[in-house]
Amino acid sequence: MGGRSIRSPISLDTKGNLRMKLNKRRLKATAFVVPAFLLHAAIVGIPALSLVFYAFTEWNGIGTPKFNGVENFRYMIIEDSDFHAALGNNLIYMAIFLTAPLVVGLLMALLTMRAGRFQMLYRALFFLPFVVSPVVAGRIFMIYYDPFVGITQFFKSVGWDSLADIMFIGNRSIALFSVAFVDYWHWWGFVMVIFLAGLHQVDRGLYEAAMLDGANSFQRFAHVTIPQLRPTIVTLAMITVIGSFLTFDYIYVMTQGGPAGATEIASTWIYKQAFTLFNAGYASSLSFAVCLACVLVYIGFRQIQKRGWDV
Amino acid sequence: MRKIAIHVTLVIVLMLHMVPLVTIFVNSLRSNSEISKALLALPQFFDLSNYPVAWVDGNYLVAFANTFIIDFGAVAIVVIVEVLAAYGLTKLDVYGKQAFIGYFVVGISVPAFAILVPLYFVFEPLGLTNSKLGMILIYAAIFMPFTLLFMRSYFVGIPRELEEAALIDGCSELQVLRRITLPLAMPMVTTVALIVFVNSYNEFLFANVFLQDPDEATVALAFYSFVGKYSLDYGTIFAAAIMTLVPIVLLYFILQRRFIEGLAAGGLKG
Repeated sequence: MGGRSIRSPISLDTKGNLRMKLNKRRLKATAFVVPAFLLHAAIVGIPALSLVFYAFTEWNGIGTPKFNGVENFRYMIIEDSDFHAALGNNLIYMAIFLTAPLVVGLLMALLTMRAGRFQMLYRALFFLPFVVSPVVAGRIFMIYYDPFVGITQFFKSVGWDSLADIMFIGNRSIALFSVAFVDYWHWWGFVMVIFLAGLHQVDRGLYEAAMLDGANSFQRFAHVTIPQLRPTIVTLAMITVIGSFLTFDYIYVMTQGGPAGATEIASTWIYKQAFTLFNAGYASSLSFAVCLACVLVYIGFRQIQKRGWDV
Repeated sequence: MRKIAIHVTLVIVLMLHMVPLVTIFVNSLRSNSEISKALLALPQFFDLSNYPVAWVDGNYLVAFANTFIIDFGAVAIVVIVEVLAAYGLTKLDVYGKQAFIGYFVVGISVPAFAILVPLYFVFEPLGLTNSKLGMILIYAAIFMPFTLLFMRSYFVGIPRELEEAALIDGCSELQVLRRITLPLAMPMVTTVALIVFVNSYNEFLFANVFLQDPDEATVALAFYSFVGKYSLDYGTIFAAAIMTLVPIVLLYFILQRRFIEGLAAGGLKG
């Protein structure tokens, strides 16, 4: 959006004369866009801007916010070790989601491509968990993970004793992975669908050319499929990175950050600060920091996409 | 031979993938003591008695009414304002067009989380917490920007010549939109409506914060608090889960092509 392209009613015309005329036809045209803009600005735009103000205050959410400079940010960066640990968990979450669903999604997309007339059926069924409510998936998996009635009882009954003692949620070192698995189950079908659509756009001629050059199937995958899918991969990576810092539902519904902070992530920590501890000011600083990071990541990926990655 | 190997792999993955959903359904037909003994087993006899318990104690009638009012409200608002905006942004000479488009692009990257805290403390004194209207406005606003960009790119593909012919015949832009453009854009309108409906139906974060009165709860919330109350009564929990999932799964199977292909088209464009 350069300044040039933003046309305001007050502007210089081509001859350099000041033009200050509101064209009735253009005003009518603008009225088409105004409702959408107003709705979004009122609910999202203005509150998001006010967040920037609250971020520099001490506020319990009800009384008058008290300006306290950068104190919230000082506390966030230097003292709030719970938040640091939560960010660490966000990074683990990101690492999981930058690998498992992308690899499985791509693999299954490649297989589904070759499934002939059943392709649509496979696609529809793999995608199904994507529309399943996270609340339902999360709570039901908590039953499956339960050490007394869950899947471990099944392992015990078939004699897989080494698996039968796993505490999926109780064990602090695997709790985050157990929660992430549910999110993964819900998510990889979406990734597959996007890859499948990307694969369908690959020019068949490129494969034929590669075959004429004697490329084997792995070489065709590495030198045709992957480069052709690069824009898709970049987009999915962007969604994953941003999503990993905003993820909330599965963790909140399943563990609320427990046991003992093992699955605490930025969003559950912000939620606690705002609605359990009533530190609305500090919660705003945390949200502001996380959102700023997301917007920067978004801009960064946009730049990557513009700089010739869309080969 | 290779073809068979592919199908065998796909079917195995598919079966594993479906285990969670199938077990929810099977267990919804089993009694609590059966489930406690073995989670993965077939029902001894088909027992539907979990369903009425979950329906009544989960307050599902009220929850479904709330959910459908909120979700249809949000869908209606999104479709109306978005069709107008997409038409303006693609066909008309709008003041500050690039600024509007830039605003909505930034709007996509502003996470819903950013507005949770400030919006709550604005809505509370306005009486928009524990309110269907409040939820309709929130869902319409947070699900609008990315679907608006889907809609916009679809409108670009609708030829202006058709619309101009109608304009020459004396139609206003609004009439052209209603009689010419909108019928042509119906596939995308359906996709957008579906995306907004499914997202609103499953939304939890805002519902949990803004709807604390159990009589205003959506289905997702009703299920969440039902599990809290009946944490050891597994049979009814599974029945409640099925009731929560059925409307959305049915809708999905009827319209899955529009849903998947719309999302994929949007996802590819980024």
